[in-house]
Amino acid sequence: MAGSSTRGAKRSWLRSRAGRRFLVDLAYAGPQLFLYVLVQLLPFVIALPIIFTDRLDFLDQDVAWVGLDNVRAMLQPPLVDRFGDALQRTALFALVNYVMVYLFGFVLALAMFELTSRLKGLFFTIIYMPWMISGVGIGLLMIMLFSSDTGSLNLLLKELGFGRNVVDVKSEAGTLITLPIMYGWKTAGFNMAVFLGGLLAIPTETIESARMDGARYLDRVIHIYIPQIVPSIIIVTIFSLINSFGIFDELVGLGGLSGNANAEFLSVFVYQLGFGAGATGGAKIGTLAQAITVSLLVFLPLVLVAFGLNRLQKRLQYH
Amino acid sequence: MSEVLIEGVSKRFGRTEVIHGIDLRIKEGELTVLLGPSGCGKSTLLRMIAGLEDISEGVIRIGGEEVNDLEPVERGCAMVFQNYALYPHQTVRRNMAFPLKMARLPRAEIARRVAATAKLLQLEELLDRLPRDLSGGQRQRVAMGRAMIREPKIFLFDEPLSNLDAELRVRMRLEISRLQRELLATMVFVTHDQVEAMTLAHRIVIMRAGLIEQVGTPLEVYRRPANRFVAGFIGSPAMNFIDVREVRADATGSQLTLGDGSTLVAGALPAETASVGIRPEHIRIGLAERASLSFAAGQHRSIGAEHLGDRSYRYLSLPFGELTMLAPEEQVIDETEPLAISFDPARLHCFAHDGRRLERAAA
Amino acid sequence: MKRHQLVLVGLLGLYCLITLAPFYALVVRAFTPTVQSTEFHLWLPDRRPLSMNARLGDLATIYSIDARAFRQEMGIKGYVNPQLTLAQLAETYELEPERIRAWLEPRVQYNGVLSVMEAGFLRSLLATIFVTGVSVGVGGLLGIMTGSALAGFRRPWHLFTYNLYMLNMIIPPMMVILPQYLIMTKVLGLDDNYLSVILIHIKGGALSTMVFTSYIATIPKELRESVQMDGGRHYHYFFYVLLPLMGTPFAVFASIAMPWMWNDLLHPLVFLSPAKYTLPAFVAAIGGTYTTNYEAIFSGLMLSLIPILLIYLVFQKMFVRSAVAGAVKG
Ligand SMILES: Nc1ncnc2c1ncn2[C@@H]1O[C@H](COP(=O)(O)OP(=O)(O)O)[C@@H](O)[C@H]1O
Ligand SMILES: [Mg+2]
Repeated sequence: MAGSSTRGAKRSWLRSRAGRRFLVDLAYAGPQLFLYVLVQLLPFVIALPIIFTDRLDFLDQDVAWVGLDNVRAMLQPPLVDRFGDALQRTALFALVNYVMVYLFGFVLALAMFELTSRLKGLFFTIIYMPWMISGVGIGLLMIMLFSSDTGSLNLLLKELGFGRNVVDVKSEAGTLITLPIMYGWKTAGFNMAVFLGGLLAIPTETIESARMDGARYLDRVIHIYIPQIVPSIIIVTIFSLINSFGIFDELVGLGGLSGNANAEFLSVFVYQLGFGAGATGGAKIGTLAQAITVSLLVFLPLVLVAFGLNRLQKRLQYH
Repeated sequence: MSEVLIEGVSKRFGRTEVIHGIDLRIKEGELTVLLGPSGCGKSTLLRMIAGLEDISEGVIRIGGEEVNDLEPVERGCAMVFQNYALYPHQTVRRNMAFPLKMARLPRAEIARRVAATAKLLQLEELLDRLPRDLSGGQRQRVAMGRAMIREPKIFLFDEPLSNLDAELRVRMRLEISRLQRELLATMVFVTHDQVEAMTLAHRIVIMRAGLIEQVGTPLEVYRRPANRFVAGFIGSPAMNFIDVREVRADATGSQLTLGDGSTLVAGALPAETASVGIRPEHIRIGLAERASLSFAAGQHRSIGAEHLGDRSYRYLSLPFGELTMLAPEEQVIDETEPLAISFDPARLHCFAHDGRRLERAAA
Repeated sequence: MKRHQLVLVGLLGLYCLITLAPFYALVVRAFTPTVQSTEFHLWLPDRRPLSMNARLGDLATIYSIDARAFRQEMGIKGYVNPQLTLAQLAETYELEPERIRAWLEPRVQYNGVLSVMEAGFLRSLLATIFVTGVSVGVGGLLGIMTGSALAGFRRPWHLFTYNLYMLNMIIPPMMVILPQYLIMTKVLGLDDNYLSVILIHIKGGALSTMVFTSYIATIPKELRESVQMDGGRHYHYFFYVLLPLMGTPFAVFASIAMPWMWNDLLHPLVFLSPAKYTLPAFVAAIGGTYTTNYEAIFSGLMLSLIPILLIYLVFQKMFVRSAVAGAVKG
């Protein structure tokens, strides 16, 4: 009795104006939400508890709870060295890459901001162009340019008399130098656009009044521009952090999955742990559970940083 | 049948109540203006009539029928928004045709009605333009056209003139009046501009903080404001209020003791009068009228004047407070000379402690 | 003032030239025979004629030429000794030398491009266009629908849903790829099906939700109310008013999402079989199969870049404007 009356109440709520509005909203937001839950949230929820198990792969029949063993495994031989190396490479790359954001993006944005020439559009188009290249493409381009003996840049430098094999993309140092450069080259247009967007949003009066007050260019950049583009800076910081730690496709292009040990960054390490060795036929170096553990271990703090920065950005918006 | 009856209507947004149980009758064929300072709930009330906001409590009836649960279109209302809400990507013609298209009218009929409405509003030349290529006044007229074309029972306007410049506002005011007379339509018009209200309305509803303060014709609310709030809100510059310490009645009338101790003799006033009000336009310089106040040289000070060409407003600082008055342009007020002002005691408004109007006994 | 501008033009021009240099080098390398890849070429090297004294086996190794296809084309049955030179072959099997030359010479001279073509470049390109096109279109439409429901956050669940989509940013693709694969194959039955990649692209995420929701929130709510007053239903508002106004946010969405979707490597790699790879996976696979045939690898990269660069150049105004506009909003 009570049940049928509440059901009746529910149905009449759906018929009321508020109810109908809810149904309309649901009809529009629902399809994508359903997809999103099915192919993104559900997998996430499935994956999370696995970090406390010894699951080898998804077909593993014999799964046991192991608590934090997966975290411990990363800190012990035989994995600790590979994990440490990968972490170190990735962190170093993230750092250098972050510097590149400013070397490429910020400097270019400043130049574009001052430029009044009609060539501006052409320059923008060209600078943004590498953004269209896939990550694999960047990796292959690096091989093309910086390989020992066959790299175009090496050949050019030899031609110009700078000696043989100035850079070697497959060496430890070579990867760490050329990858941020090429990555910076690829993302220059994007970062420039973000900075430029920030610069264009600065009220011109503040720039003009600074000029009237006798601020020179560098003073203006430091005291007028940078404080007012903090939101842009935070956006590129978040982007750069997440992309640096997640970098994968470029490393595939560099042969990270096929034997180039110097291209084993965290994401490649995770891939190898989880299901990498299947491709090469060798024994797997780790378990699926370990792979998920590492990716959480690395990404969760990152995400917290990103969220913190995001909150900061909301608070720092002047306009 | 398009009388609107509002019975005990309240509105809550979350936990804050912004309309506190209002009763109101909007008569058929009249132009009713909802007037009040901004934030007092005028738009909210209008939108509840329109069906754009839910009614938290109470009932709204249109033509006798309860409409609380009806969709906007089923209520037979059309609305003109403050920002006009023209569809930016559609031409004037398609904007005006939209409500008819929604009503599934045949094309020929739509074309006919668009043409007729465009003619009425002098929009024929503009039919193929986009809203962004129209001036403010033209956009306003298109919005009116889109509202009219459906021949609704009730027109709702939410500050439709406040985005126009002063001159255009006057023109559109006249136009709306004309349309109202021609269509004999029921209109509800929201504004915070009392001049607009006075010139347009058959009936003014003055609101404050989610409550109705007074309902009446423009002259009623001007002549007999129901309380100090209405008295101060209607009329520009605002009515002067003078605090009264004591009212002593004698044979000739009442003697008022003002805030500073000075006295004023006026006709019979209610004993509980706590303040009196007098409009700037009812004060004269000199002793021409029956009630008067005199000030010695140095007792009065001029704190400003606004010269409008044909007349001027003078702002004076007097012992009992500040006073605004209308004076002829050429009138000189010299601070080093004595000053006398006077007015007809019948023009005096009396208010009780709580601001309520006090009626005077018939003289 | 003038000089200062000239210096800027000069420096930016120089940077643009440097930016273009790798593209130029790629074109040169795509036509540089692998055997010459230790020499520096400033321009496309001359095509060397095919020598009839070359051995078939060597050609097959160096240029990744399919010996079986050669036999079929020439009508040779049975085993062919790879040690034979082309001249000897012509003699042995009574073939016109010109016929051999006609078939083999382009495969040697334009080895890279032809190898890539034969590896199924066009099929992969069409697949990429299909997957990206559908993803951008449907993803945009779903995003607009989501935005139209959530804009303004009129109800608590609107904000909650919005934040769910933001959560997407923090989920590493690598972490969920395997459960995703299981759901695609076991639950949806999309084994080796383009639809699986499309579903991943159109599932919604931070970008589309942010762009559309924030843009729709700037559209005066009176437009929606006006349709309501005029007797329109929500779908009238959606189709007659909202969709026509979505040009700008759709451009922002498309210009950021299109390169992502086009260049997505991980999902096609995991969800599709090599025969169905989209371009990035295809290029990666070429790198794997033709490990040392640089001409083929770089040709593959070049060919895979041409279509997306063409799209970019055709719509470059849109891309550029969206890049700056999107950045301002954050
Ligand atoms: N959607 C809403 N949510 C919460 N509060 C609202 C909303 N709309 C209006 N209010 C509040 O209701 C009060 C009355 O608003 P409104 O009717 O727009 O005033 P008016 O039109 O008289 O200026 C204001 O205090 C306003 O802040
Ligand atoms: Mg209002």
